[in-house]
Amino acid sequence: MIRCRGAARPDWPARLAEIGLDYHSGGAEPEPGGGLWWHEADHWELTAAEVDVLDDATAALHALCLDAVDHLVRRAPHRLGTEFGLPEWMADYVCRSWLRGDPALMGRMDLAWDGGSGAPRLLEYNADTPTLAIETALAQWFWLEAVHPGADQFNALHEALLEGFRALASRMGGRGLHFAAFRDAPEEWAHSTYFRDLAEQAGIPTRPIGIPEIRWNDEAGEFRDGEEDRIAFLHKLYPWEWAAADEFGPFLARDTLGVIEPPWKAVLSHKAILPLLWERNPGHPNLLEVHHGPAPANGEWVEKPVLGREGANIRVLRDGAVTASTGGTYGGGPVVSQRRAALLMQDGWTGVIGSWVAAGRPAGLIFREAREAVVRENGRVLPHLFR
Amino acid sequence: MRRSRTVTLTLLAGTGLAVAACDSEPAGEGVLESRSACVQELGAAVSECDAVFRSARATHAATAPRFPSAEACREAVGGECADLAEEPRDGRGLPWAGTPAAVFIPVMAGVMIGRALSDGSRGATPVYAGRRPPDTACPPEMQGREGCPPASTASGSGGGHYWYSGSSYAGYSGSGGSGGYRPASASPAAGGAMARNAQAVSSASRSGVSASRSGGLGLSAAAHSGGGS
Repeated sequence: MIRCRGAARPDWPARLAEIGLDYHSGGAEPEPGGGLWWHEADHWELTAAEVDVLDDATAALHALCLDAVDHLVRRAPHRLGTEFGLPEWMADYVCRSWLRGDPALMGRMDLAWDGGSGAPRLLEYNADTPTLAIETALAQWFWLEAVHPGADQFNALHEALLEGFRALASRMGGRGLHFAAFRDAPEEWAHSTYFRDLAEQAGIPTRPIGIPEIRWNDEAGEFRDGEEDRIAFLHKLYPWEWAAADEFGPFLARDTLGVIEPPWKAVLSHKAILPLLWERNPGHPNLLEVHHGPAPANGEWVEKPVLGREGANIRVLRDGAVTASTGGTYGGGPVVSQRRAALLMQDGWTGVIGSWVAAGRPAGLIFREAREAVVRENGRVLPHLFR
Repeated sequence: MRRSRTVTLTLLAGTGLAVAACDSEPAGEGVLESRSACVQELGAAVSECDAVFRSARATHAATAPRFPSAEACREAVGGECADLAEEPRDGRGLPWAGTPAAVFIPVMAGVMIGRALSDGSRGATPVYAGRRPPDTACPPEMQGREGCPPASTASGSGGGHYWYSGSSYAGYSGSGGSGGYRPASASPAAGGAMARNAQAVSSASRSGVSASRSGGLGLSAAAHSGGGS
């Protein structure tokens, strides 16, 4: 993997606006090479062999994750309470949704890999409310078409998502799917709109809805939208752990609606899955050693809140001393400690590889990078190609 | 090849037309009255303009305001109206297929492509000549329901010579907040169970969601920057 320098398309903001990506600069004035968020002047170049390694690692890790969910549901449901902190109704809901096979559409793993002889390692799995789909499936795809038409890219995300929605359509009996996100969060609303676009193309009638506009109707025993129409299927960009903590969350478990991503994804997006994966597959080349609780006194570790997001409240420790940390709103709760992995580092940038799973298979890559040791939500996104 | 072979978008900011065919910006606020105008103004292929109009016509049949008679329709919109039964039913088997007879809708005057809707989405939205009717017409999924039509004020989207219906099950978020034929109203019977939560949500919500609107999800987001990851 090589970090290549180049130049952005002169009209890159307009090109991105065409595909709904208007949050590329986070409100700041765009620079010639790219925005604070999307940076296309530079890109990562891989070999076909490296793409194969990432593809295989993603498939293997997804399989391990499904195995872990199955183990929890069938063999150790009590751990959903003790380790994942799920209330009993939510744990039951998770188990039901897994056993009856509620369909899932997508997830994005964050992988650590420097391209060397070691294997890519799982940092975490954003299996519930992944973003970066527009950047992956659209922004870098159109970038490649325009700038490097002769090169290839590991990026079948758009087609895989479309396939996923088609499969979903066949299970929905012609009913509609509501797409819920926060209207005032541009990145999330744009993603919800993109997923709605795909659903429409798959023949599913859709309707957008702001998350606070979802209402429970006690008489009818169903969720409704602002027009008093029943919500039979819901795609939500709202994490399961937040829904579980909401006062009305238990209404979800009455099973009057189908939810995408399904309840069982709550387990995979929770970092308590990481020690369980290690416990069940110790020494697996694609896993890092992870334990519950604070970092051991010796070695290099990364402490993460079990329910943190976007690189918040992370502490990097060496032999018990903190060498880097981030702030955020997720502190104070339980943590897991993960062996520090070798991240991609070139030109002074630290990189994390986002690897998508859609329609049940590896579906593409996206790169994020930051100057700091911890890549956060304010890191920037770069396209990639391979030859 | 390990990337998507084609990428088509219909709802997201660009239209399929814009990303598939042109390097130039698609027409902005323009209304295209015919396929030939579409071909001429956008420099697009005839087949692509056909697709735009087919999509708009399907949306039109599914979402145009309904009236019980041609006279009521003409009076409301000040333009030509037609029997819904006469509308071509191409598209995707949309919900008007089962609508009883004697439903009249305004005639589609053209399509609008471009950044015209409040949520920033673009699409081939059907537009109508004349004036926007007051919000007393029912969206198709409300036909026959009790309490339809409710009394409310018109939001007057579109304006000028053309107007569009603003909301549809096919997915266009409308102008002016409620984005529909009528504002979201919290009926006491329906909202009761969530009333307590709704108060908390409205005070904790991160934007201008009005306090009168009943809410369900969202409370746990108050402390964080968003739900994506």
